Amino acid sequence: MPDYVIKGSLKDAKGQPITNVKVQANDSDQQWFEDRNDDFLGNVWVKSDGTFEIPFDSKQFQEGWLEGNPDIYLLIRNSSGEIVHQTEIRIGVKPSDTRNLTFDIVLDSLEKRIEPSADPYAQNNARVLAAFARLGDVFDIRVSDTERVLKLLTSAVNAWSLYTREEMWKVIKYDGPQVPRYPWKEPKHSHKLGWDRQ
Amino acid sequence: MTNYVYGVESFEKRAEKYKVVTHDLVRNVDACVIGSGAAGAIIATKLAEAGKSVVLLERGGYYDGESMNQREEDMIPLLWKNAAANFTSNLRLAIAQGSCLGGSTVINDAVCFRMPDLVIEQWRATGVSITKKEWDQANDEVSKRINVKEVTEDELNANARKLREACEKFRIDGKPIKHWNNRRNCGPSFTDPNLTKCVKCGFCHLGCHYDTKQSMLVTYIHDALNNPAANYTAYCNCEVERITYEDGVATGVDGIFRDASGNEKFRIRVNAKLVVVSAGAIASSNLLHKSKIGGEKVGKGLAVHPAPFVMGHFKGEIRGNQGIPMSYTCHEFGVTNGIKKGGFLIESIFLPIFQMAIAIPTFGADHFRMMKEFNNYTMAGIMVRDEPVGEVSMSYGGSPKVRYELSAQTINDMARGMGILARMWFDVGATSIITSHRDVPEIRTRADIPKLKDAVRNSPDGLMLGSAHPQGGNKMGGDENESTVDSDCRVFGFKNLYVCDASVFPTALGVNPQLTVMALATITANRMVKNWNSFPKVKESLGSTCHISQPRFCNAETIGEIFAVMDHDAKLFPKLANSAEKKPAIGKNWSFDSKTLRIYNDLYWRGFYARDTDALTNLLRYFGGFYKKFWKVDDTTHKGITHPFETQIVDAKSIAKEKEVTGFGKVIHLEYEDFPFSTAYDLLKMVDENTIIGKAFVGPFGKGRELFNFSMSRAYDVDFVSEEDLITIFNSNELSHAPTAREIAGRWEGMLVSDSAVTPRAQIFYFDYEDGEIDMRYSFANMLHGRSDVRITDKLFRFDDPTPFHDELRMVTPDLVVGRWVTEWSSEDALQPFIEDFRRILPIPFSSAAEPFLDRITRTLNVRGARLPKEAGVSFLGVEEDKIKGTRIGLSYVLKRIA
Ligand SMILES: Cc1cc2nc3c(=O)[nH]c(=O)nc-3n(C[C@H](O)[C@H](O)[C@H](O)COP(=O)(O)OP(=O)(O)OC[C@H]3O[C@@H](n4cnc5c(N)ncnc54)[C@H](O)[C@@H]3O)c2cc1C
Repeated sequence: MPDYVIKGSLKDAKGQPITNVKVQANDSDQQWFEDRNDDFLGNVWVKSDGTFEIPFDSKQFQEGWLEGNPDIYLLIRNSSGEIVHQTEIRIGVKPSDTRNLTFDIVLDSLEKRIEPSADPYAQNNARVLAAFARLGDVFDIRVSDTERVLKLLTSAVNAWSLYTREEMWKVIKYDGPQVPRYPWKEPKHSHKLGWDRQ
Repeated sequence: MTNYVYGVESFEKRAEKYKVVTHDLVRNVDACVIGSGAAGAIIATKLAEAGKSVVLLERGGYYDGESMNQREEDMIPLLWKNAAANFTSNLRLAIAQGSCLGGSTVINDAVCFRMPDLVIEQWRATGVSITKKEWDQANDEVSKRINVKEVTEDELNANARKLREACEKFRIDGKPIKHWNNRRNCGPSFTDPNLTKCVKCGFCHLGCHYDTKQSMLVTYIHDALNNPAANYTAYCNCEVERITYEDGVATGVDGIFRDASGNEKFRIRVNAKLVVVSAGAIASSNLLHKSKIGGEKVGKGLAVHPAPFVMGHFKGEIRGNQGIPMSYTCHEFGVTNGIKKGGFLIESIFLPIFQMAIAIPTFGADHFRMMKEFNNYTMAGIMVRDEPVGEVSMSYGGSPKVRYELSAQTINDMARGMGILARMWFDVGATSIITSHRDVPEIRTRADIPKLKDAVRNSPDGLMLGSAHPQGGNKMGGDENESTVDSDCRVFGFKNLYVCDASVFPTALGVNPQLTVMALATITANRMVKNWNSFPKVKESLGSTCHISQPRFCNAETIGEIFAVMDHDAKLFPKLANSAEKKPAIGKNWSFDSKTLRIYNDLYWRGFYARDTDALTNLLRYFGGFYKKFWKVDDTTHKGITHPFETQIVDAKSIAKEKEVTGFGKVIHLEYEDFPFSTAYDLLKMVDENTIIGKAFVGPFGKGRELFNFSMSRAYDVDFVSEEDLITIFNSNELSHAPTAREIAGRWEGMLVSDSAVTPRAQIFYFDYEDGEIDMRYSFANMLHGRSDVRITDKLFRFDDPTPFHDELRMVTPDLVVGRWVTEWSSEDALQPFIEDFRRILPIPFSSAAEPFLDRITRTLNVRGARLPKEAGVSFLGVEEDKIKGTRIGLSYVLKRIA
């Protein structure tokens, strides 16, 4: 007889049951053994009414004297297996603790969650490096003169290192950009140009 | 699913509905359009508006107005093709093109010229059957949608007004010249209701922050995305690698989603009734090359509108950066004034500071002195209508390589134009002139103008040349032998494959091309809709995308995901057993279908690692290959072995049984019998008769630590050929033959074949066939080049190079060859040449007393008669024992035709 039963339900934002997702229950061992796998407690498809039940046995997670009650969390996978949600970890859940063995989950999307990147320009160095690798692939040393290549490189490096800098813009009295570096972070930024304002 | 922009980058907020791609995709649609620039965006939208389901694939990323921050260092790598490091192969000409959702229209100067009547006539004469009326109608339609309007007086900035003043003053033999305001496509911003026209910030080349430039991004693409009746999806960061086809019917395309460094993230397969290549000039030719479409004529006839600039220096400030860079044009010397051949327009332009710093052709203190005067310059370019003399070919790595040499006419036009513009700036008070010629970067008096013209004429290589208008390469016309596409933009020889963009222009246009590209796209889309019923239905293919039925194409993460949700098919368990034989027997336990290029191999289950390309997976793939073989014991049990290819003597014995395993459901548990293997176990799920996915664990059963995900198969395509498969094909007279010189003629890419895996391209072989002679050249890793001697008999195709090894080839299909680079091992000639080579490379002077000693070493090393066991053949190295040929060692490879 399994001594634990995890129960729960999955609903969308409108309260409709979500089906065609799989719920995997794990015992988190991370507190004790940083680098080992968590124990699986079960893995079931959600029923057509959006509910699920995962019975399991203490044998499944008790292998050493260290572990008493399981630290339970659930992973929700969409039909292609991608993890779309991970619950909080509930520490040291006892078999009788029905409150902590119940997970009622609301999901607004069944797509894998990707954290937005704060800076779309952050990877520009990688882009430039990749560009130079491709340039190397098409560059034909036999038909080019070294002097030209060197001059080109020098002027590119020179332009990049000097003329993308604000201090230099000041020296030259260049107006520079008319919007903030991260415009969407300052939604109220002005769409008037500096020289029109003067 | 539809009406979204997809990409692999994740953003905080976007103007259009945007989703991040998280796995491989397969789409079955009516039309697949490649490239979202001036042509592609229009065709995709018009087809969607005509009720067709459309997928638009764009190599660049999706950036909206809010993310265009007017900073060159931020925007150029995001919006410009190859981060602007885009040159001809001799680095003499910089070619600017956009690479982002919206293509070059996002970074262009928004100037709109109608196609000159003269050019319409010239193109008609070369067989382009599009009437002036059709061009006019299309121009009207586009101009309305992108809001083409004449530049108003208040939109001319100081630079443009200076150019106008100069044009007004200029006389040739007392006669005035022609010049007028440009027309531009700017208008109301869809994101800022307060903006109804151009803001005049001057940052056109960095994308329009205000969304007033009516680029494809905010017009056609925006319309389709927000049209509830349309079935339209745009995929960004997605580079199309290949168009697939069969008997004159394009069947779809294979694309790769790449991250910022260019590494593969995901794949897409689009099966479509209609495939449209609109990747822009150069890229479209490259895609045809990569797909082996169109033959020799593809890539020829590239024109670029080379455009040297001339700046005037003035005492007072001009502030050319403030305001619209390109708003005024002098037409006197160009096609718009009836000049039939060559000629040029003089167009106002002003560059943001970084581009200006690159353009000024001086160095050090001189450069800084000139840059300090940034606010005191006027600037204009000489946009020359050049001859289509350039050529696009394919580099070793598969990228487009552009060759372009200025023709005499073009050089002359540039010299004239630069002379005229220098005169003009002096006319209106310039104190000196800055030019784009490195030998004459600056002139201070009118008297020096002839010097400048001479420099251009005598050493045109000294010009810093830029082009923003590559055109041609896939010429349009009536003659199939000369042109790639017909007047409908349909590729000759194909029912449903089109190329439509600037690459089909048969000659340079002579005016800025965007409006003409857009008009052509409009005409083409209309014709496509009219011809819709002629497009065949194509079959749905998975290509090389990750799918449960072909997990060898999946990355490790996805195999894990599939494993988590897929159920093991228990009724297949009895079929786990393999053929009891040890050697491949064609037609019994092994077969090869030369039409589908698929191998069926029941000798064992070939193991496949994930497709990831990290160092560890690569190492495993080439040096850690394995197979598993099973024998049935009874309905519930199979005996098996796991055999690593690299340690021929090891077989790990195992027992396979179905079990219920917590967290995994019903699976096959593979238990290893003997130590040390018994510390590990595998869980397997059978997908179908020939496909298994698995997980390897170490530790006690049920609680083991997961090592890696893998898959196994008994049926796979030739891209996964093993050394054993290859030798089977090689040795079979039914499956392969020694090619004739004519058959082999062409260019081939070679991939090395190890016991377990096939490498990416390792070599290119060139077989040039001329007048009954074959000339063979090779290039390994683009570094080691050379020639070989070819010998052909009816049984053997062999070529020799200076090493003791030689190559033998057998042809499997006209596009597929299997090859071996081998030598007889035990004969004297195997080692002697190496030793001699060594002594040649390291000519250490030995005293004559040492000679006998050396001879003895050489003799000792001469392992005549020694046999090498087959087991010595690991990973790439193959050892073959053959009664006739003796023991041979060597490498195996497959060759695929690339031209
Ligand atoms: C800086 C600059 C200024 C310009 N100014 C003007 C102007 O003022 N007026 C004017 O008329 N013209 C101007 N042009 C030229 C004009 O923008 C182009 O001629 C026009 O956009 C060409 O259209 P296209 O459809 O052929 O190609 P593009 O607009 O370049 O679009 C091609 C798209 O295909 C994508 N692509 C390429 N290969 C692949 C692949 N394998 N898979 C998927 N996608 C791929 C590219 O990333 C690109 O986005 C300018 C161009 C530049 C670069």
